[in-house]
Amino acid sequence: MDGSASTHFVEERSSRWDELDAIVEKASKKGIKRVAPAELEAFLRLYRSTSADLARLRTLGVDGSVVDRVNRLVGRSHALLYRTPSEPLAIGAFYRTDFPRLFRQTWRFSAASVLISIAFFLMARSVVAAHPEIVADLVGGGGAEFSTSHHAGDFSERFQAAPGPLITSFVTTNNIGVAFRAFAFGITFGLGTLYVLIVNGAMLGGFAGAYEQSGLGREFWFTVLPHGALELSAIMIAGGAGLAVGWALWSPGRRPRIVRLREESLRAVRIAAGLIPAFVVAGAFEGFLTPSRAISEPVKVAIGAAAAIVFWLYLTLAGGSVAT
Amino acid sequence: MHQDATYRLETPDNVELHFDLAGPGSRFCAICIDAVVVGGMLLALILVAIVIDAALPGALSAIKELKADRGLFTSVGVAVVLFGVAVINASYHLIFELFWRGQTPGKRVMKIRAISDDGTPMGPTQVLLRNVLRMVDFLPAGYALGGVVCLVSDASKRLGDFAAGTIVVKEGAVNYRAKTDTKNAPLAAPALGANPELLPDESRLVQNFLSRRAELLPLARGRLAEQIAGPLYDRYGGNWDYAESYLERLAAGRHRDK
Repeated sequence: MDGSASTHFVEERSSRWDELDAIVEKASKKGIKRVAPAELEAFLRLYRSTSADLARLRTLGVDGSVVDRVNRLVGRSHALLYRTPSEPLAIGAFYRTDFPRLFRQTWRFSAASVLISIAFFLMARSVVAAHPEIVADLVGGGGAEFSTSHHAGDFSERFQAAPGPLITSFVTTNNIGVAFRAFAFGITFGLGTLYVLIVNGAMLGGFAGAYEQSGLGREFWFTVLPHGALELSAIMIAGGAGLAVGWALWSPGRRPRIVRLREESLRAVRIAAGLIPAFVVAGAFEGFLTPSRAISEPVKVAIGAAAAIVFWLYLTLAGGSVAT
Repeated sequence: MHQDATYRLETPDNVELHFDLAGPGSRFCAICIDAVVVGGMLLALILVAIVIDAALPGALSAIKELKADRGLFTSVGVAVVLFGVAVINASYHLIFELFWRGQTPGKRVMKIRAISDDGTPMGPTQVLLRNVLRMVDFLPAGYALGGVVCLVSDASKRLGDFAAGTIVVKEGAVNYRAKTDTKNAPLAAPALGANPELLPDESRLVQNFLSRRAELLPLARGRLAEQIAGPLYDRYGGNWDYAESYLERLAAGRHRDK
């Protein structure tokens, strides 16, 4: 096609492009809901004709800057047209059905995560029982924090000293961080997740072994379990989400790894995010229930255990059956 | 290698859309700007805590029964600040990308935006996922892993973009109407087809180069002009002075002029 014809084409169509541009501009400023129905109709019509123009322009080989601006216009219209209806962050529906279903879809990975954690917990505990001197290595930096507490009073006092709201906020943010880390490192083919789970299990086992050795096992468990039952459950489930992503990378089936990565991680991140309230509750227990002097220790453990049981029952029973 | 990388997308209505991808450089600049903004927020937080502490002595300072050598915190103020730091760090990118539709202050300055790779704005889950995976891309320090992945991947994606199905694109100044290019008016290309000797493809190529050369960096512009003009000179001959001048005259059919 010679220059004059393509120039003619551009001149002929540019008024429509301007029209579409005006509507898109208006819609992106005021929101598409404020655009009059007549204009919406015009928008759809103009979008279709402009898309066709774009394809035409490319084959005509007109001036690149014209193609660019029409491309940009079609791009903006496309984004407006196909925008996923902004999910109003439907939290209620998510917890009523989606979250427990997601858990059950991936329960095998949560189970694997629990088994790995327990295995390394037991291993570390028995190693410390046999060789108490290695506890400092096993619990790493955390050892320093505990090294000052050599008798039962010190240990529970540690929890009683700091004010509840602080403990709660700190512990909660920290645990949410651990959970998201356990999930996020699933992208390392699950190896990073394994590392987080192993360290977590081994540290708990190391502490347990050390305190049991010094005859403080009872105090240890009474202090850990009220909040730990729920907290550890949630961390292990987050680890399961990471393992699910890792497994999709090891064994993607027939589809490309990159596709499986997307599918699995978009699903698994919702599990990780869904655990946040569990960490808030566990953090509140740690800040207020664990250090409380008014409640007897068996009652604290009972409350903590009850919360964890309710959580697991919710995950296994709520939300109806999975459609798949 | 990734200069001027374009992401091509086929829409459901069979339109091919082109997006200019943001390269590792502009993305890193955006991250640096965001880091400065986060730093400023943290500094402000600390200053506020200090001011409150000075104005209301005891309000934030040490709790009496707390023994410094054993407790987790030596003062409520420190704890509040540390908590604030954790919250700001964790939620800065998340909140901005959620409410500014894929932009953070740094991205806004750099005129880039994260979008879903189907050309639409990101959904909340995508925003969450690409920002949770930030901590993996950050490893071992300073986004080294994400940077390497971004350099070698086709669409300049970091790991978080792969997982969430997102791309980061240049916004491109949307001066859709005013594209008259007055600054370079004297360099405007002659009309397409002004030189009947040229094949349509060649004519188009020259035309395209001449009309867009002002957007190119000098080095790339010179090199591209050489690349285009060289073969054409071999074929059509004429009077060569330098590549761009030759192309200008060739397009107008005056390449034999002195």
